[in-house]
Amino acid sequence: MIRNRVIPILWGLKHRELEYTLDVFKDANQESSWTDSGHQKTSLMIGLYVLNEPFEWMRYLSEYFPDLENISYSFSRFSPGTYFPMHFDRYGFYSRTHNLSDLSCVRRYILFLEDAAPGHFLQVGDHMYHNWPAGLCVGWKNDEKHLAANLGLCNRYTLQITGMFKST
Amino acid sequence: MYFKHIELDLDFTPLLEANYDSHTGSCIKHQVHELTDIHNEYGGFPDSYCLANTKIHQLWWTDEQLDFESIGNELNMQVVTVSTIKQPPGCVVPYHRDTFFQISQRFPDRKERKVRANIFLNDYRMGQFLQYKLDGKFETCTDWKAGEGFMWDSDILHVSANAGFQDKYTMQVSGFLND
Repeated sequence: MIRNRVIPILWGLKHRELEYTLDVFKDANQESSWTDSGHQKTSLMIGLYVLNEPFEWMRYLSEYFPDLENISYSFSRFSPGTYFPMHFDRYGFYSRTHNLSDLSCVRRYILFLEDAAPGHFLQVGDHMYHNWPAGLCVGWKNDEKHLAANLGLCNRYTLQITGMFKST
Repeated sequence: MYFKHIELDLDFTPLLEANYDSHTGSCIKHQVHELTDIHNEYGGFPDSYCLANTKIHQLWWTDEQLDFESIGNELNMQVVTVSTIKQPPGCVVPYHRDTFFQISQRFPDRKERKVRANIFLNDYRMGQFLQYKLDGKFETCTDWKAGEGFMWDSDILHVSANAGFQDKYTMQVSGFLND
C-alpha cells in the first residue's frame, strides 16, 4: 500500500452528471473465476467515464501527485449491489495508451468523491476502508490486490488517477 | 439502543452440516415495504437488488434440536427463535434494522427489550463483511472467529455481505434480554 492523500473536492457533484458507460472487468479469466464462485455477472459491473484530457476544473489535481508522470483520469461509479471481488488491476487501456510493457512503475489512486455511505467498501490488502470522507485518496502499486464494492443503497463515485512513479 | 460484543461457546458442526438447499429466499422481500424510512434517506430502494444478489438459505431450529435455555443463559437472554443462514458469494442483506416481526406477533404485550444475537459460525474469510452503525459512525467487522458476534436491538442498522469466495454462515438468536 502507498501513502494516502487528502485532496479538496472543488467540483461539488458534477461527477453525478457524467454519462457513464457500463463496463465489465477487463480480464475474462478473472471474471469467470468470480462467476464460478457464484457471483452474478450483472453484479460485476462498473460505470466508467474515461477522460482523454482532464476537465479544466480538474487541473489542480496533478499538484497533489508530484511523484507521478503521465497521469490519466477516469471517473467510476459502482451502482448498489455491484463490486469487483479481490483482484489486481490490468491497466490495459493505460498500458496501450502509453506503450508500456513493464507495469512495475504504475500507481493507481482512488479519490473518493463523496462521503462513504453504508455498504461502501474498499479493501487494499488487509486494510479496510469504509468510513471515508470525500477527498480521501487511497492508492496502490501496480499489482497490489484490492476489492471495491458498493453493497449499499446509493451510488459510489470515485475518480481513478493512474500514473507512473517517477524514478529519481 | 442496545449493542454488545458476544461470544457463544457451542459446537456449530450440526448447524454447518445441515442441508441449506431446503430453503431459498430473498432477504429484501419484507424490507422493501417495512423499511422505507431507511431507503428514502438514500433516494429509495435501488432496483438493482433482486433475488439473485440478496439470496439467503435460512433454517429454523427448535428447542428439541438445540438447547435454547443453555444458549439463553450464555447470552443473557430468553431465547424465542433460533435460525441459521447461509449467505452465498455475491449476496447482500442491504442496510436494514431487525424488526422482530415474529416475536412481536407472538408476544404483543411483553415489554422487555427484544434483541438478536448474530453469531458467526465460520472464521472470517476475505470478502465477507458485517457493517453496523453505532453512535452515528459506521463500523465494519472483519477478521472474526467462529462463535464471535454481536447482540443488538432494532436501533442498530446494519448490512451484511458476502463478496468473497466461500459461503458465509451465521446464527441468529432472537428473544428478550434478561434484566
